[in-house]
Amino acid sequence: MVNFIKRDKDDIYAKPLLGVLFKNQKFLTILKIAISMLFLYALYFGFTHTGKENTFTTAVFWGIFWSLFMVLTLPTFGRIFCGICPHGFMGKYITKYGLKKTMPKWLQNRYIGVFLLVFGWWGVYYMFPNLFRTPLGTAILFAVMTLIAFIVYFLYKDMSYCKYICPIGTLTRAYSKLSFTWLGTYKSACNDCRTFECATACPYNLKPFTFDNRNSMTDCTLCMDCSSACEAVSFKYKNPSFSLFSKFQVLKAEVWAFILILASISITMSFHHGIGRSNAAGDMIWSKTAEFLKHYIDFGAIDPIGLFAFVYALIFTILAAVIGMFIAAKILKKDFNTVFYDLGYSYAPLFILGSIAHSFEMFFLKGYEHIAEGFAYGFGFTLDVAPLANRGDGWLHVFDLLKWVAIIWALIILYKRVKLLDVSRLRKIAAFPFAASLIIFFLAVNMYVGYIFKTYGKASNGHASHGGVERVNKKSEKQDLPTFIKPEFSDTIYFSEINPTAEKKSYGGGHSHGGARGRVATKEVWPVFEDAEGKKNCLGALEAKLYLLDANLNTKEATVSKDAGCKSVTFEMPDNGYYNLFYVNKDVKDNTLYITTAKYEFLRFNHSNYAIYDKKKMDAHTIKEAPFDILRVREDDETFFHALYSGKKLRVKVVLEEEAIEGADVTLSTKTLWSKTLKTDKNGVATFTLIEDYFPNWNEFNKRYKNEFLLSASYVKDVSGVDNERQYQKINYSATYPSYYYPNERGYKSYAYGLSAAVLIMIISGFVIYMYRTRREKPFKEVRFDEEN
Amino acid sequence: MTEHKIETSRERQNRHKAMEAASVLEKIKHNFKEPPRAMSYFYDLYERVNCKHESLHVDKAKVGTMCIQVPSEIIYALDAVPLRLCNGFYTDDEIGSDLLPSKSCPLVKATVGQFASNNFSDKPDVIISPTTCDQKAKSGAIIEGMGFSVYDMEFPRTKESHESREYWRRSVRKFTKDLSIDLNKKLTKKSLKESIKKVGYAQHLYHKLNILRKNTASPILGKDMFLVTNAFFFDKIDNWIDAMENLVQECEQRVETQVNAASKMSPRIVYTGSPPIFPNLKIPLLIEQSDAIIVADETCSSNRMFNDMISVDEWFVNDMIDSIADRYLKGCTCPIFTKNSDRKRRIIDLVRDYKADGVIYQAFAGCQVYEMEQRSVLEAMQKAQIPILYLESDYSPSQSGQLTTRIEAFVESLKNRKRRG
Amino acid sequence: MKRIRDFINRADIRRFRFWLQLFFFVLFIYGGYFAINLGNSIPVFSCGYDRQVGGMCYFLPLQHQLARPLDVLFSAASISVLIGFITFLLWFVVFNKAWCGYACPLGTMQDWLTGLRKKMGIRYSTYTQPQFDKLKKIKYIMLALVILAPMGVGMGILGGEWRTAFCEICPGRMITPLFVGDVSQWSLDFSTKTAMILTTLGLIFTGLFVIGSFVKKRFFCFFCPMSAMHYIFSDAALLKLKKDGDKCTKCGDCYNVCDMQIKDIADDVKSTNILRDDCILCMKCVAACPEDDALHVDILNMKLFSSTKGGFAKRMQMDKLEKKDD
Repeated sequence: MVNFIKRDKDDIYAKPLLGVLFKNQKFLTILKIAISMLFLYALYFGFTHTGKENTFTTAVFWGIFWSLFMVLTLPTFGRIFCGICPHGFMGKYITKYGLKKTMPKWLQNRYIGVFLLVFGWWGVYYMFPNLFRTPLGTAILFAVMTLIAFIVYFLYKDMSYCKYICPIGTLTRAYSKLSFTWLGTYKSACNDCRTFECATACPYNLKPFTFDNRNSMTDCTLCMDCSSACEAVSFKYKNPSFSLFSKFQVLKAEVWAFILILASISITMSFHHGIGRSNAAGDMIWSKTAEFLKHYIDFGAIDPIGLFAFVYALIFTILAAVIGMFIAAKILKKDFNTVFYDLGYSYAPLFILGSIAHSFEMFFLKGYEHIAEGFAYGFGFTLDVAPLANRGDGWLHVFDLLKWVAIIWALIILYKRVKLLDVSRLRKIAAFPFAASLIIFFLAVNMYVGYIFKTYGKASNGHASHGGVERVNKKSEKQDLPTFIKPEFSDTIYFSEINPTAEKKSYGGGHSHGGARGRVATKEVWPVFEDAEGKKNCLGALEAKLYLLDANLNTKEATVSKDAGCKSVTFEMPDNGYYNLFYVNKDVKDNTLYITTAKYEFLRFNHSNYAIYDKKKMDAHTIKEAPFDILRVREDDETFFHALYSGKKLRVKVVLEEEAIEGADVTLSTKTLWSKTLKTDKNGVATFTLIEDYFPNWNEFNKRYKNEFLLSASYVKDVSGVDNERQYQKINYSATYPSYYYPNERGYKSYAYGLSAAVLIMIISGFVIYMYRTRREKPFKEVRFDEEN
Repeated sequence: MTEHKIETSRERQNRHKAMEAASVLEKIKHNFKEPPRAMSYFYDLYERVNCKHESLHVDKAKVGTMCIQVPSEIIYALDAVPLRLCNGFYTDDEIGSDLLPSKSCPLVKATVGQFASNNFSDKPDVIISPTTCDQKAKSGAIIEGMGFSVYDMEFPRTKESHESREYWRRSVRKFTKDLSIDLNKKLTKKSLKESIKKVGYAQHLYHKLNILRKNTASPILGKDMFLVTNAFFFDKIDNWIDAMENLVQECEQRVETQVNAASKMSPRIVYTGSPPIFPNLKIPLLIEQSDAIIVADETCSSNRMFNDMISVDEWFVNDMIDSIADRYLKGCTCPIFTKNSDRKRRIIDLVRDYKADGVIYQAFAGCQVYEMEQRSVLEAMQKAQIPILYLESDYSPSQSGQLTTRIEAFVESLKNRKRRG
Repeated sequence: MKRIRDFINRADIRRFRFWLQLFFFVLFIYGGYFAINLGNSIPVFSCGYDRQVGGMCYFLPLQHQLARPLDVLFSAASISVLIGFITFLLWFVVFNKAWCGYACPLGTMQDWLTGLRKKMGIRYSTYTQPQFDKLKKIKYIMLALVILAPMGVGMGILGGEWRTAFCEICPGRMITPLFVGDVSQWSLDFSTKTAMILTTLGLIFTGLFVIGSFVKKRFFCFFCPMSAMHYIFSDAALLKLKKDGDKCTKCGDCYNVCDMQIKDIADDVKSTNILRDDCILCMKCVAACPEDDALHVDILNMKLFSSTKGGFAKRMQMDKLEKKDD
């Protein structure tokens, strides 16, 4: 034993705060006592308060210990969960006064603990989801486990309960290999040691002085008893999972722990709680099996879908691992067991990092609230806190990154362990993808879940919506239906992108492509008109004809919505290009035939790199069904990224019966009530300059501010005729075309400032460097030579 | 009637030195297989300078250097001639031992002795003494006391740190400035560039010749190589280069016709240690007379002068001087440094590269640095399983017997190893 | 075979490099004019703001991809991110960091400015070793900005102007379009405070880029996040810079000529793979090494370009004497 040792830089025991936390026996004992008392109190509380209002017991057990604290500490600091475990702490003293017999061989089986966890806990959980989550259930479960633990501690020595019986014994031992800490010893001190105090002090009868050589901490639970027995024990920072990068004695139960835990938690959850909450849940094989077997077996209170999701997950996971490793072993020409248990350690990160992600997410959504309020309840006062995050918060998804980190980490570990094999390089490269079979399976399951949700969508409270346009009309269903005023013929009708009845403008004014990714983009527009008071009104009934000219210049009829309320038109936009929607109406009144056209033009572009701008297709076209139309003339250098800006010219062409018409009136009126009227020239073109009238405060400036305007054209032709047995003397044509423009870049981009900033920096930095180089003060004079040729 | 003339001391010294030089030259020329014809220039040169005391550099300023660390490129650029003053004459050694402690390095004693006798065929105008080994550093003051102008150049004793690099760079710059003032010449970019290229070319020729010794049938013996490199101390560089070109050409032909300067079973030796300077080529000659051949050496009178070459990135004067300084410090494997891992690696690399059978490590009695390094070099050689022989010697001719025995025994053991395979 | 090897080892690396850099410069900057499109995963700063670019710098599409909402990014969009990334890796793996030394347009511009500096007779400066050790970490901070800023947008905690935060501050965005006559990037964007600060930083860095090239040999490369990204994967590349420590005399010639001032090339005699995170694989060190086979560039474990005594002498013009009439 040594009383003093010079500790290395990476020794945690030498650090100011952490050193105390991990080494000081007084502090550790107090901590362990406190945890034990908390445990017992929560247990007792669970028996005495069995109702649902007992959030304390559930908070202590399911909110903190299992699994937030456990999964957080395992891959980071290591097995400190076991270090402060109440069972272990109290058990150590029980064993001291116990019988200290050697555990019989048939009990010295680590699979007892693993199966207790996988089947005894998780299997039961999937069959009876609510069994263990109630306060009484929790209390009973842990009381039983504590009783078993105490009996085993009393009977047998060397803390055998932890090693073999405890459900999470092997699990924590296995996953702690990913941690960045390592308990070891200073070789210089151990070389001369003859008394081995560290081994004597160890309650688990381990030999800390062998950990470094064996590259394994075996069953060490970081109880830190050895470090108080001798100063030569070190607790160092190491690269995460570094022990997996070199050889060590493998433990088969650990590899199976990885696989079975991955199956029973990650995969089953992906199946049952993941896909099972989508609209495709019923098509999955476990649901189908459950449905099928329901006819033959009465499952009673057991949830068959959960059960079979569990069973299938186990089967698939084990198969994925075994088959992949089998093929890998054949390629490597090595024994299957060697390969399987050697390379299987690469599966370590898969479950644990994913579960950290889940635990964090749950903590922010519910856990914090649960723990805070539960503790308050348990200690007799009330507390009401708000959860730290809400479902749907975008940033919560950052934890999904951990799954990807897990996959990459697993591949790195596999790569390093394959490198250790004594086989030719080619074989190793060939075997690698097969050995990574479970990692690939895990990746595939994750992507599959994402795919399912993307394609089928989330099930909403039992009613699955069929893939279609999402309506944001929930609000409007509650509102009173507006009474519809019929438009006069002199009223201007145009299309609006915003639902006129929607009160909040937050949904409108944006790109409502509708539908999720992968589905065809759609657009919904509402024909509206303004009444005498200037209020926008929608149409309750549509008598006009609707036509759609699509990006490929095909015309077809468009249909109006069938719901009661404001009528809207929805059309699909499968290709990149301009989509034109025409509303054509005609009626005779006062001897005049009114032909009204309202047009809506939309440029659909999916930002694909392979889109080709075909000038002919992208040109402005009209259809013969629209007799009078306004066309926005395309400029020569337009691309898919075209937008209108204030200060730029806008050329419009008015056509009558598909030919340019001279002398038509065209008016451009903006949302800010500015308007200008021009007459078209002999080419039918009128040129407007878009005004600039967006002058907000600087902090409110939005460079994508849409200044909406409406182009309306009219033309009167003196010609008589008959339409539907009504006579008319003249025809009054009118057309509308809504659009918007953005503020000009000149409004917020300054070249003068930019250039001057760059030049100024160049001058200043050049000057500074020059002065520095010429003036470097030194105690001696720097000798310099002239650069003479 | 015969005229009796009493020799002046100077004449006697010259005669003794001429005798020493002549006897060594005889051995070199005639005790071995036919040397390359181009070597005749060098034999002739030594005769002219050492026996006939001919002055070679009458028209240029002469800068004497006490160590190879003085950058010769700068001296050439200032239109002067660097003359390495390290002396190999026993005659001068005896003179110098009156002025220095008895246990001193014979090379330093010989150098001081020459100064004491003030007998130079090419007398240096200024002497540059870098603070390399203790004895050289202290002898500078003694020489100055004799009335010569000695310039101390500050040399660091470590070379790993940044500080030592910057220190040496400043030292070289100061030296350049002071020398150009002394010689009243301005350093121009063109002259410096040319001198770097010329010295580089000389080094390049040496490399071309040295590479030929890697062959199993080396075309040239070590004793000739030592002679050639020693000549660089004092010869006109242009003449040296011309002669070297001829020598290289001839040796290349020899390699083509597979002429072996030694015999097939001759053990190949790497020679390292205190520099053998003409005429103190005692040990190399003994080695090669014992039917071994020196294929490579790691000494400052031969290989180290030519091994490291200067690389310049941007040909500005200030950058060129910095590059020159770097070359003289960084590549140096002299034992005056605190750590010698570079030297050990170099010797092992030479053994492997030249397929040598053994190493002979020779230290002058009194050369503290070489003697102290002997242990670690021996250990390194043993670890690399390379046979090594350690010898101590000085300039006196009396030791030959004991040395011969030891060398011959070593060579025999190497031959046996070679025979066994 | 030996003749080919000798020819390569004695080559004048500067001329070869000049022509190769010119070729890649034209290919990347003007490629659009020749209807060349090498994709969006190019591992050099071939800036996408140049409309005629022949292949876009990977960081621009990467930032756009990472800026998607996180739930999309980590499920449906992850495939496109992976594909883009794997394409980038496949490009990178061929030449390792020689992309930096021979292909990057920004690097080429710095080398041209260096040539101008040499003509003007201005000497270069060096960092002291402590300065070097501290400043080299900046490239990792830049890489963190490239990855984290768009993810912040995806998380909803940063506004949309942060989407391509690195592109806003990268000098390439301002300088590269100049070569096709586009000065539109030389403006300060006052639309929001963030945009203003980012574009100002961009112009400051451009100014520093230009001045820095007159002070150090490859000033900007020291802070380049693409270099940091390369280094993470450089172990897997085909082209490697190797050193044989036994042959090294620690003469420091390689350190002297190194554009990036990497000390390890000279001092480390134990490692074989001597490519460090700053290295641009310009091979000047191999060209300046006077020992045979001490430094060599390997492709797939075959020696491609090796340091040789003869090659060194030729490049330093020490292999023949210019005869003067004396």
